[in-house]
This record gives sequence, structure tokens and C-alpha cells, in this order.
Amino acid sequence: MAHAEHAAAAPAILNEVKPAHLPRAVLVENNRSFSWITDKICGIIEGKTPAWWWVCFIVACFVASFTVAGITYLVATGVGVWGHANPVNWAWDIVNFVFWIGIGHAGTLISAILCLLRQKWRTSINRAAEAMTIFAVVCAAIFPVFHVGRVWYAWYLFPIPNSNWIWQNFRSPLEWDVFAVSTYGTVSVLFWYVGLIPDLAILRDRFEAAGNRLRSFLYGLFAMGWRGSNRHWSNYEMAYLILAGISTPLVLSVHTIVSFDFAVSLLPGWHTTIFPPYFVAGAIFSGFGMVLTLMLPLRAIYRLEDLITQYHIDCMCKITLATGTIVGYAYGMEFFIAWYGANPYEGFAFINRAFGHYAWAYWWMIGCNVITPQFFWFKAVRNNTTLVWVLSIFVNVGMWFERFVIIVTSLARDFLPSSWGYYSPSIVEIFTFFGTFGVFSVLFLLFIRFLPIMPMAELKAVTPQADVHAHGHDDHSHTTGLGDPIKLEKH
Amino acid sequence: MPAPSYGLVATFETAAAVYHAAEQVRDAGYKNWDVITPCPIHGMDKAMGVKRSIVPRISLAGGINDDDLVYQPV
Repeated sequence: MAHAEHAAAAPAILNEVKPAHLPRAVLVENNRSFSWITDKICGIIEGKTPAWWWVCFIVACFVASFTVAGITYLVATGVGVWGHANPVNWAWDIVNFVFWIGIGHAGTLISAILCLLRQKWRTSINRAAEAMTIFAVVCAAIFPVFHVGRVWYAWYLFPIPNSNWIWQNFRSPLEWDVFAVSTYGTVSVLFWYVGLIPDLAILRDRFEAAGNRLRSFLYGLFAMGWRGSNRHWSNYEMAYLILAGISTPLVLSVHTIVSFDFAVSLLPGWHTTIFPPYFVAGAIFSGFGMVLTLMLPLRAIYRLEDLITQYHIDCMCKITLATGTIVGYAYGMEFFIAWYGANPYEGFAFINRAFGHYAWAYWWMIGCNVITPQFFWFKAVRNNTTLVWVLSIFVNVGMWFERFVIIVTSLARDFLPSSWGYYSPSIVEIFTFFGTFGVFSVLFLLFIRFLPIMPMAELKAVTPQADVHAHGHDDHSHTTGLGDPIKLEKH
Repeated sequence: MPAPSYGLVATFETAAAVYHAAEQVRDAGYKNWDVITPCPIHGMDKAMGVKRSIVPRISLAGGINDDDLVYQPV
């Protein structure tokens, strides 16, 4: 075995300290074959539509109708149907926008940064996480587009040279948001689609063999003549790498610019330099919360334990723990700087957050975002899938409250006590936000019904069979958990 | 008289087998041939003698061209 040879060549000290043999995590359990992976993933699409899917789909459509109704009412009546009033002129609309945009960040992190870092555990979760990103951006976009009030003027946000001589305020971070989010949406769709091409070709061929000409044609149309030739793979891998490189800054830039919406203002509680890294960490934290919320039920329903292994869950939990701890540190640092900066308004804003009228929201946020992830230190917790799922829900709830606390508490108590107010959402905005979960679920359910939920080709590439230098099952087909499999070449 | 052969197809059971076969076909000097695999095989470009992908150059050209269009004075 390669290990034994390696040890023999190593210094004699190793015989004294007797280093432990650490088995490497396997990315596809039970040594599954290529055909098993194909049958498993394609089987989800080819099989009869399960009854649970229809139930979920109908419920999701019903929930989504709340957004449609809320927005229709808003457009027909005016933006005053939301609960905004002086001094809280940003409220649930921006809270919900930041909440949904943040969720998308895990998908981009998994597809871009983990790809460049050769983190092979990304393979089984990246497709669904990228789908989540796109659908989250769709939900997020609803709010800023409709909060402009007269939505038919929303296109004024784009600097289209026009005969009206309207030019955008390029010094406003809100304008930067338009570019950040639209770029983010475009690149996420491209990334997702490029990844889908080889898998769509597999579906095309399988539906052709099964005699379903229509579906074969449709999958084939989007597979763009993919044959699996090595010349294709060569170009494909290069394109994927370039897209990963392009998306990597986006993981950081989008939420940085979202945080500028606040940080660039002069409002106490918003005007801080910690916002960009704090928002990015929070976004990845919330995104991984949502990935866990979505993937764990899928794993259970479709029996995907061999593909989403305990190792994958551990990795996701650890990223949630790390980013959640960064968020907790940011909460503490904000308080410290408010005191250390000796600005009475800043100090008041933070005392008011924790002990003022909105203290209930603040402590929800602290409970969910600071305490919840700390459970992931324990292996017993990470191994308990149900508990991980419940904790991931708390992460989602906590991150919504974070945005609520930041936006609403700062506005409700600004510089002038005479203008102070208390914001409560109107029923219309509650319905609109509630409905976005339906919009998201409808899109996600359609995705799992019609598209392969995991990248089959990428999964095959991380199995031992795909390694041309494989000498045996145990040699270097596994990951160390630190990145690329360590090559213990014999020759 | 047998029909003239248009081409030859061979299937392989393992990634290593198709990899080593590709090395031999490359060394035999064949030009019009391909390797079809269900996933990218690491090192296959070298085994086939395929040159580096031109996708980066196309991307760069596209990026420069797009810049050119966007910053045109209006």
C-alpha cells in the first residue's frame, strides 16, 4: 500500500510517535458505479411524479398567490399600502430584499470559491445550491422593483441612453445595487446552465431511448449537441474555470454593495466600516442555512445518503459555524466601536437596539445567529440530521431578524426625538413576503422535477473509477478534507 | 466484398484503459479521432495530444469587445 511505503521512507521519529492513520472521507459512499449515479439522478426525473410533489406544489402555488395579490394591490393602489411612514421609510421591503439576496450567496460560494479551491465535496450540492441562488435572486428582486412605487418606471434604474435625458445618480449605492444584483443574477444563471449541459445531454439520450421524442428534443435543444467528447470536456472545463473566476469576486462584491446601501449613509447604526465583511459573512451564513434546509429533506426523500454523505453535512455545518461565529463577532465589535467611538448617537443606537422598543427582535437575532451555530461544534449534533435541519431553520429566521434590526431600529430612532416612530408591517407587506416563500418553493419544486438535482458528470469525476492512475480503492481516490486528494504516486 | 469501413469504435471498461489506449492512438499518429467519456478524465488532453482550449482567448476577446461597445460615446 502507498501508505506503508510512505511510512517506510519517512524519518524514524514516526515509529516513536506512531501517527494515527486518519481515514479519508469518501465523497461517494459504497463505491457506487457511474451507472448507479446516472440511474439515481435521472430516475428522479424519469419516475412518476410523486404524490408529495403535487401536494407541495399546490401548497406552494397557493402561498405564491399571496405575493401576486399583494403586489397587484400595491400597484393598483400605491406604495402607501405598505407600513412605511416617517421616519421608517425603509422597512420590510429592504429587509426582505437583503434576506433573499443573502441566501443566494451560499450557492455562489459553493460553485465559485469552492471550485477554485478544489473542494470536491461541493459536487453533490452545487447544482441545487446554484438553483437556490437564482430563485433567491428572483424573490429578492421583487422588493426593490416594487418599492419604487410606480413600477413602470423601474427601467429608469438602468442607464439606457434615452431621449428623456434621464441620467442615474452614480454616486448612490442604490444604483450600484442595480449593477451588482443584475450581474450576480446573470452570472449565476450562466454558471448553472454551463454546469447543466452535460447532464441535459444524458437526459436527452435517455428520453430518446425511452421513446419520449418531445422531452428528448427539449433536453437536446439545451444540451447544444453535447457528445461527451474529450474535446468538449476540455473546453467545458476551461469555461467553467473562467466562470468560477468571474463569480468569485461576486461572492464578496454583491453583499458588500448591499451593505453600502446602509454604510454610506450617515445614520447611527448604519454608518460603520465593519458592514461589508459583516454582511458577506452573514450572507454566506444564511445561505448555508438555506442549503441545509433544502438538501436534508431531499436527501431523505430520494435516499441520497451515498451522495450527500455525513462528510458533506459536516462540511456545511462547519462553514455555518465559522460564518455564524464571524457574525457574532461583528455584533460584539459593533457594540465595542459604538462605545469606543464615543459618539453619543452611535452609542444610543446600539443601546436602543438591545434594550429599546425593538429589543424582542434583537434578542431573536442574537439567539438564532450567535447561539444556534455554536451547536455545530459537537459531532453528535452534526450527526443528528433532524437536529441540523431544525437548527438551519433557526439560522434562516435569525438572519431575517438581523436585517430587520439593522434597518428598522436605526430608522425608528434617528437624531431627532421629535421624529421618532414605531414601525409595524401592514398586512399587505406581510402577505407579500409570506408569498415569496411560495414563489421560491414553486421554482425549486419545478427544478427538482425537471432538471438533474446533482451534477452527474462532476460526481463521477470524484469517484475512484474516474482516476486513471488508480491502483486500488484506498490509494488516492479520497479527499483529505483539506482539498485535493493527496497524490501518493507509486511511479 | 465487405463494405468499406467508415471508422472504428472501441469501448473500454475503465478510465485507465481508455487513457492508455488514447496514448497509443496519439503515438500512432491518428488525426481524426476522439475519446468519449461520461465525465472529464484528468490528463486526457495530454494523452490525446489535444492543445489548450481556446475558450480563454474567446472570453478575453468578448470582454474587450463588450467594453468597447459599452463605452462608446453616445
